[in-house]
Amino acid sequence: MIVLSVLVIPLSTAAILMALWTHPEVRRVIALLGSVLHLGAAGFLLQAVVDRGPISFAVGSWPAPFGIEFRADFLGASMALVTALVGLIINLYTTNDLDEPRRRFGFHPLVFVLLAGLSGAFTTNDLFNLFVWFECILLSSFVLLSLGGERQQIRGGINYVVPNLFSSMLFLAGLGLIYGATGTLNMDHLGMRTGLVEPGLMTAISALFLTAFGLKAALFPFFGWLPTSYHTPPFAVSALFAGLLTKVGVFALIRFFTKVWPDPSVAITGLLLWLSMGGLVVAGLAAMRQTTLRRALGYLLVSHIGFLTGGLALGSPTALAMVNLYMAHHMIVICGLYLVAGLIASTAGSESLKSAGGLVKTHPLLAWLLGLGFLALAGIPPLSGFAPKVGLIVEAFRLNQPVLVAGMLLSSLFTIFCLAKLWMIYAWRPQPGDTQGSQPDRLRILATTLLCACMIGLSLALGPVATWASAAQTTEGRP
Amino acid sequence: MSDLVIPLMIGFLFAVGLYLMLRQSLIKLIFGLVLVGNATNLLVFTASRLVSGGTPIVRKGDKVLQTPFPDPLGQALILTAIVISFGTLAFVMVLIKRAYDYFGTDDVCALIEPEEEEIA
Repeated sequence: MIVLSVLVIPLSTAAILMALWTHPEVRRVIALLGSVLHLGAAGFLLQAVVDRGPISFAVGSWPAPFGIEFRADFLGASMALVTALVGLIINLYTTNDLDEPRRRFGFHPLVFVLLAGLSGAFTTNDLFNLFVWFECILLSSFVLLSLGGERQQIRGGINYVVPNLFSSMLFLAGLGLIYGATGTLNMDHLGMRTGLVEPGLMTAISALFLTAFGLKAALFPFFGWLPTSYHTPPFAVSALFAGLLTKVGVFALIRFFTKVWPDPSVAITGLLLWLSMGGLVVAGLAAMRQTTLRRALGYLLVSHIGFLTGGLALGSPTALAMVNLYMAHHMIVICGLYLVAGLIASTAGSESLKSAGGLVKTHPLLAWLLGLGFLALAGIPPLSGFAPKVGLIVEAFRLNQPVLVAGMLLSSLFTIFCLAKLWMIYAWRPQPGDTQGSQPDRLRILATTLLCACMIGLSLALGPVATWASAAQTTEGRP
Repeated sequence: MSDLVIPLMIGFLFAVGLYLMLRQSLIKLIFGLVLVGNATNLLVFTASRLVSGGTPIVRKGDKVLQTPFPDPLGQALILTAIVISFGTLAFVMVLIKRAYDYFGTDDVCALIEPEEEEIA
């Protein structure tokens, strides 16, 4: 039952918020309350998974291969916890600071539907159920992205919607074929049967899944939609998407290539490896010439996806544990950076780099938050990005994949270069002229600071988390 | 006979849908999405085995299904997928209507963002 709580709480919060359509003040409180409960439930779930191993729940008491099964393992439960955390922070961030039309037309209910969809995707053990959660995520994200209907939002909306819709269709086509080939949709059950299917057919089917999930994960070369849409909505929405949405694509890839098809053919892993390498380098290069912080972050996000998919292509338990760690770290850090970018844009009155500068003197707290986020994203030692990054590179060395090592090192170099340049512009350059910005709302600063505190918290707790993640990779066998 | 006709039809629908999606027009993009969506549904339908005559319903007095019967799960999957694609397509149409209101054209190139100035 505890597995379902991470789904039921956000979904019922969304329903309650819809029912209270005409009471904006009450809605604010309910949204925060729902988020806190969601975080609590996700915390309990992770605690239970760490204590007792994976937890299964058969919906309607139909036994596993016939009914839909939810199954939370360490990877899924840790992702669900980070999702709940990011949800709470976003709700806090938008409590006071959200324009009236967006608030009125259901911003908060949509956020909760999105959170429910993500929690569902992270805990389900049924491939078709995963498709349904993906659609749940997609529909709410479509509306969140274009809510407000500004010119550039519509532009970004189409760039976002069409590829994602197409990827859902590929996902569905793959589902049909894999069901035809194996006669089951339960992921563990599929894992037992895909080995019996002719390898050529499985490679073809998995290429469909690779494209479908790769599109959602912004894997090279399918990432064009991300940097052309993520900078268009309000900062809170960008942060929510950047933190969570591409990661669910990576998560689906991990599920497919570790559970559904546990030993993928060399053709597919090789392809995944080269695509990861492409993303690491190309997006890293593109990040360096962007004209706003948000755009640069979009490309860096795409580049860092290569670490995750590259780790998956390596496929060893150590690499997968490191991917798990890096993903949790990256979700928190990139979301935090988008939120800081939002605060900076409102103090400067504009997002453009032309009006940026002098942060160290004028807003020391923002400079601290930005610096902390940059250091964490670049993976500077005491912070949480360092250990999983080094772990992945060492593992790539051990498995004799020099291409991936080169890609990861280059991406790190580009990231540091890009962030150092942005830091010099934002923090050290004198403030250019007078700006029309205003002091951002206190709750927004509080929310961002809390998330940055979580970054430090994760860095401190990295030892035990790494132990759990590695233990989960070696002990979580199939039933 | 239908063993050959239906796969060919699915392939044709995919081809036409993809061709329309790659054209430079937002309206054709919608039609392309509709066709690819339908091709996908047919693919799921076909992949769960085509059986003619017989329903997957246990008759009164029987303990098991009478052969031949089609796989009901495949049909249930399509039903779900059709409902979902209904919703998403409705949203895409509204979005493209809004884009037409803003840009006054259904040319996809209108969506390309103007290049911004270099960083100082």
